Amino acid sequence: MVLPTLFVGIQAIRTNALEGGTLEALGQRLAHSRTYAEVEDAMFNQTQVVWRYLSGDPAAKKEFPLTEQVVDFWLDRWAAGLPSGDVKLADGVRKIETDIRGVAARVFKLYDSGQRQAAYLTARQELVERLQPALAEVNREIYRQAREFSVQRAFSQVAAIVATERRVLWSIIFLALVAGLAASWLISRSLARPLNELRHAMAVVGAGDLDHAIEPRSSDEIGDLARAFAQMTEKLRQSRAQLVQSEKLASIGQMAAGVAHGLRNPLASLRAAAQLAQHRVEGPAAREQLNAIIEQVDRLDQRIAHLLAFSRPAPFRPLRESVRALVDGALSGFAELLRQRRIELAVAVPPTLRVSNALDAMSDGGRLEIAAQSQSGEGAADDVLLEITDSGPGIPAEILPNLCEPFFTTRPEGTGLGLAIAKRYVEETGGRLDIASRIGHGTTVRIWLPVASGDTAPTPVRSLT
Amino acid sequence: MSGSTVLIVDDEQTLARSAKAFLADHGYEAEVAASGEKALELLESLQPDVVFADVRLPGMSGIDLLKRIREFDPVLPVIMLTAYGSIEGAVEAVKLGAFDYVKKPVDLEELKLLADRARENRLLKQELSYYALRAWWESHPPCMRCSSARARSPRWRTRRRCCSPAKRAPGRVSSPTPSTRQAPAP
Repeated sequence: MVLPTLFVGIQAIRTNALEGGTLEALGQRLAHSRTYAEVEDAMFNQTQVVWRYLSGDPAAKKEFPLTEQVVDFWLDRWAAGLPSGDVKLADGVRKIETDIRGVAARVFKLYDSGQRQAAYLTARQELVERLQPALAEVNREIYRQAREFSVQRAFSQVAAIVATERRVLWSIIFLALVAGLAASWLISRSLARPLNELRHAMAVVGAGDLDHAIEPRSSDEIGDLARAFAQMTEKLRQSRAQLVQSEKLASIGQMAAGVAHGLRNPLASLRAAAQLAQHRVEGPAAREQLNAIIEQVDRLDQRIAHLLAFSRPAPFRPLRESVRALVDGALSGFAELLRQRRIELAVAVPPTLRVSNALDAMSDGGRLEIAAQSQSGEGAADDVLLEITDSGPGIPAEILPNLCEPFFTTRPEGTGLGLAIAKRYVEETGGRLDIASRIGHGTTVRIWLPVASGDTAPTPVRSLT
Repeated sequence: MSGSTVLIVDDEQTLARSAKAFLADHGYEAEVAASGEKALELLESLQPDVVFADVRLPGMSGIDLLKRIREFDPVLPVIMLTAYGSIEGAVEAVKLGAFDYVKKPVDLEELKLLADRARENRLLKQELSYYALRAWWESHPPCMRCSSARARSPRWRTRRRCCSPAKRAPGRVSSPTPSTRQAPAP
């Protein structure tokens, strides 16, 4: 865009210069003509001097040499400025000048010798009738030449300039077209195509396909735009995945709730019927059996409860809890069991349902340690670290990673959900759960919970025992 | 014994029948309704002292039933049974006026205990309202002239009259008392 303008400008300036030159030359020529006018004047003065002398001015004769000098002066000057082709003209003039001087000399001689009439006649014949017309002729020729020459020259110069200019301008136009095409092709390659790709990608993504790949190729603004768009798409994809996930969970939760309800009603009937029978029937044996039935019903109910708790999408309100209160609350459910199994309890602070597992591991005697400490963990907030250590047989290393998986259990009557639920609750509060164990030495469950700040805090653990 | 009529609202037949039999064995008179609509009909004739209702019922839900009962009887104890066991549901039910909230499968002993508690609670409330009414009555004596029981403003109390002699109507009964049917057995 700039280049053609630049070229045109340069061309204009050049043309201007050339035209200026032409004008200057023309001016010079005109000046030159004026110089010749001086010659003319000088020569006319010369003849006038002769006539003055003839009409009785004695001083005129003395002036004549001066006029000769003047004529010479102007003639030389004029001749110097003549172009080479016109030197003949100068010769013509000089010849006439020489004639005039000769005639003048003759006229003076005649006049001085008293032949005034002859002098007068000679002057008339030679100067007026012969030389002046000749001079006039030469003058005409000279002026004509000068005119033609200068005008012609100027004309051809300007014509040449115009032609050149036209050529140059056309070539500029042509170049500009070519360059423009080339530039637009280049631009289309480096700009329009990526933009097009981006637009296409946006359309695809907009229609819902979030897996469409966007490869930003350039490192300019288009590339940045593409990168930003790719990032946005990625985020969209993640959040959609999350949404799908939570929808799944929600529908699982709903299904679970439906299933639970559908299962629990018959269970309730079973239990009620069994209990009624137990109440009415005679004989401890029968009562025993009915008791067993009721136990099994309760066990089934437990499983259902675990399932529900696990699959609930968790409208989940973390509450403030003092760690001590947590422990005491949870432990109260275990007091009886602890006593039965003669387990020594050292409480430094709270546990959760993991105590149930620990207790199971220590079926006869042993030591259960529960400790809590404040810890500055990674991340901004401080954590509270709870450690539940038992002195049971420990957990083999191979199954350690599977412990928190749902439905993983080593107990025949376990649901396999307890740890999974605990882990989920802990993680949803923003904490971490870790299990370390050694065969023969016992197991330690570590739970990190974030310290309460503002209005969120460690969650109260729902007792699921 | 009085105050021992129970209405069980549940579409789970076996459970309802077993509960009814169990309660009957313990001195309650129990009836079963399989839906909220039936329950409302029975309420009229049965006049139960305690109601057990499942949250999930065909047609009207247990919560809706609770609301309807509360419309005309603010003190009748209604105990909700549920298979879900969510805390939110429990809170909502109690806010709406349920007496308690029990998870299924329900222990029949627990059911009976709840019925006992509810009945006792209801009797206590009735006693309370009787005494409250009486106390109020005694602090608001009727007009000495016409014995009308109106105009209980403090002004009347000091003057003990609400009317001019012309307003007295013959044969007016004085001092209506609260119904003796509600009087508690000491």
